[in-house]
Amino acid sequence: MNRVREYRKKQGLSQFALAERIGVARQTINLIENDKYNPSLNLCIDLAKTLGTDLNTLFTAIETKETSD
Amino acid sequence: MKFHNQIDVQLVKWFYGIPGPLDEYARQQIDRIGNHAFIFLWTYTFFANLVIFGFAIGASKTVFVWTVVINELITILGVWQYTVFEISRKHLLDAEIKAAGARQNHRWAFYQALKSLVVATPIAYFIYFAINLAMGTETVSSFLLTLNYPVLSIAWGLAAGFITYFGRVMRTRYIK
Repeated sequence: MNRVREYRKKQGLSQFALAERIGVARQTINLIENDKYNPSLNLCIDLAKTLGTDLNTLFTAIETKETSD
Repeated sequence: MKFHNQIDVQLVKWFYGIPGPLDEYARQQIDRIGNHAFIFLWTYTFFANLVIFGFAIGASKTVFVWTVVINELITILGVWQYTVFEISRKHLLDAEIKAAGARQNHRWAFYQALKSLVVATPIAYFIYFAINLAMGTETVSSFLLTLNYPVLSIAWGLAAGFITYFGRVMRTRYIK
């Protein structure tokens, strides 16, 4: 799980607007948010910069009950 | 170098018919699809050549021509349809554009339709040629001098073009 959706909403951006800012397709943003595509490091950095955060915050795995047990 | 890259990107986008940006996800999918198509084509060509040289060349003219036609259908139409199906399945054909870019999108759809016409017309002409030769209904010279077949081939090409154009327009989502 990543926190792209959470930070995008905090910034008040739509998927399309975010995609346009970093020069990718909206589908790519949707796939990243749903953990169906692992972006490259460059794209991760662009995402973090655009969303005003850092890589650790954006992509550190959110612990679920199963993983923490 | 930048110009070369732009040409490269435009060529790939035009060939695969991708309306959106050629981002890393699109590139990854294209690489995968292209690899599969290449593996299939290489393997198929290897065995198809064995069949042609080991069997069909010694057989009757009809068998030989049909072998060539089937090979043509599998290698050109088959790979084309596989590519379109896979790209469509990965949603790379879906265009999402701002309403202001509608004219540009229609132009893009028109170029894609033109591509279909340019590809489908000679394929249809070749298929008519091969079938008529195999059936013995025409000789090479009578086929080339008959006006029916070019007209019919262009009709097939136009049909492919119309389907492509309206397919593209229908898959476009306008965003305010």
